[in-house]
Amino acid sequence: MAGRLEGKVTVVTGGGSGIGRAAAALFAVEGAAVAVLDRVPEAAEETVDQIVAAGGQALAVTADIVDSDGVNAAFDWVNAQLGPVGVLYNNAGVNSSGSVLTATEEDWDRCLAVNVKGTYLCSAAAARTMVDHGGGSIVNQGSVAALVGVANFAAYCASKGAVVALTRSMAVDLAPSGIRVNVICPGTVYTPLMRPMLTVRGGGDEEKGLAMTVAKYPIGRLGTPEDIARVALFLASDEAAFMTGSVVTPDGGMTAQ
Amino acid sequence: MAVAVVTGGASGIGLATADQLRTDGFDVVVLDLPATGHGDVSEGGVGAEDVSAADSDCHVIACDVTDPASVDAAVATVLGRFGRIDVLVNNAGITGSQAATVLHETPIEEWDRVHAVNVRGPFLCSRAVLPTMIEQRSGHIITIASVAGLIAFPGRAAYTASKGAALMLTKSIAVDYAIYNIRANAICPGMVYTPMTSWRLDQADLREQIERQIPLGRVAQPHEIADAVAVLASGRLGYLTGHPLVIDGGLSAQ
Repeated sequence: MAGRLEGKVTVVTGGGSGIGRAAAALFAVEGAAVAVLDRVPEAAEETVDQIVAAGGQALAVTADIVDSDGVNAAFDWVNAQLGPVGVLYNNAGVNSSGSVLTATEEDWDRCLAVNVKGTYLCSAAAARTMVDHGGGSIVNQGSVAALVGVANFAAYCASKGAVVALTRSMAVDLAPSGIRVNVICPGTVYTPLMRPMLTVRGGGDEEKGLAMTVAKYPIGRLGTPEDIARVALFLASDEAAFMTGSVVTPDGGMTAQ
Repeated sequence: MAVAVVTGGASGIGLATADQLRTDGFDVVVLDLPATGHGDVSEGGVGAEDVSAADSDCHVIACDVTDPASVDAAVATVLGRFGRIDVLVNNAGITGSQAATVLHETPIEEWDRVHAVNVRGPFLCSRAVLPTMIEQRSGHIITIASVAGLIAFPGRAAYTASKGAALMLTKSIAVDYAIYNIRANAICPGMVYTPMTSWRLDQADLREQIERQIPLGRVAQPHEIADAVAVLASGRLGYLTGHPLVIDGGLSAQ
């Protein structure tokens, strides 16, 4: 059944690859006009080309989400081109590497900036429009790393924990304006972002790292971008009308153990 | 056609769920206490027979989820008729009487009755359908827990404890049966307007007091929970298992 986001203007950050690209495509199939926001123009354009080729409506937007002026300009442009933003999927994120003993300060700052401040800046830009237009839905990207410790992932774990807490805070503050805010905490998804981590975990062997990771998932496989995109669609749509401040974990049972 | 079994499907969230799943193309079998049975009237349920009279599309089997013989017989009847079970919705639940309040004042029989329906019920029903789901190498057990399984409801010790247990039972099923391609998830509604809660929500001052605590400023309607059950039952969220899906208007985010 299509049409779950009929007529909605949606913004997907990090829409040029992985989960973001899958979500942008799915949102378009469900009737949304999708602004594909990415730091890399070619990546955003490739997603847009795929959506348009499939008969959907999409627009490529280039911005670095840690830059407030750039973010505000990007959202102004989306509002002007497609209409007022009604759905924001804060999907963009970066990895980190190292424990607190081995992580570099630059890596820490970058991870926290993109994952936390980026979510804040995009949410603020979108919420200003949503407040004036009767509400909306914001979907944030957490991670199971917000819920359980993942080895050699200190900054990433901290950043995603912050996103979960920020989600609850936004849910409480924005509910009176009709804006719902929820967070997805995916388990490991096989995306370009994850491949270096799998290689490190496998001692230089990506296949081995993959097998070690899969062993932690009762369902016996890693997630796919589409697995997560479908959850984002649900939270973005009116099917989740009474959900706000919720943490949803498509993780193949990993944190149920 | 896919087959769904909904316990406590004669009223409230269960009835909305049965309706939605039927709309979505499932063969739906409702298990509920007979109208003349014990407990259902005091909890506000309408009972199985009323549903069968009101809606002939709905397959209804009188069943007491706390009674193993009754559950096994109901499941055997479903399998005899349809040959498979794709989705079990463990929805039947009670809050207990108004005497089931803070712990030291909770009558022992009320504690036992609440746990019998809310914990033993999902255990017995899941136990009855799992062999079929294992054979099918597919299935989804969806248990309606409560946000009370995550945060305590004041003055509701038995209910709170029972929903915590139902939640962990769900996770246990998810972990143990994932290898058979069986999923188990829980839904944790906040306050929903149903026959179970209307005695409180129909009192304007109590309702206002409750709604003031909910960021979205209102209680949920049963169909808003049924929507989530339907999304889970559809298999669209196939990587979700062992998860407590919180639908509480932001209550537990505070």
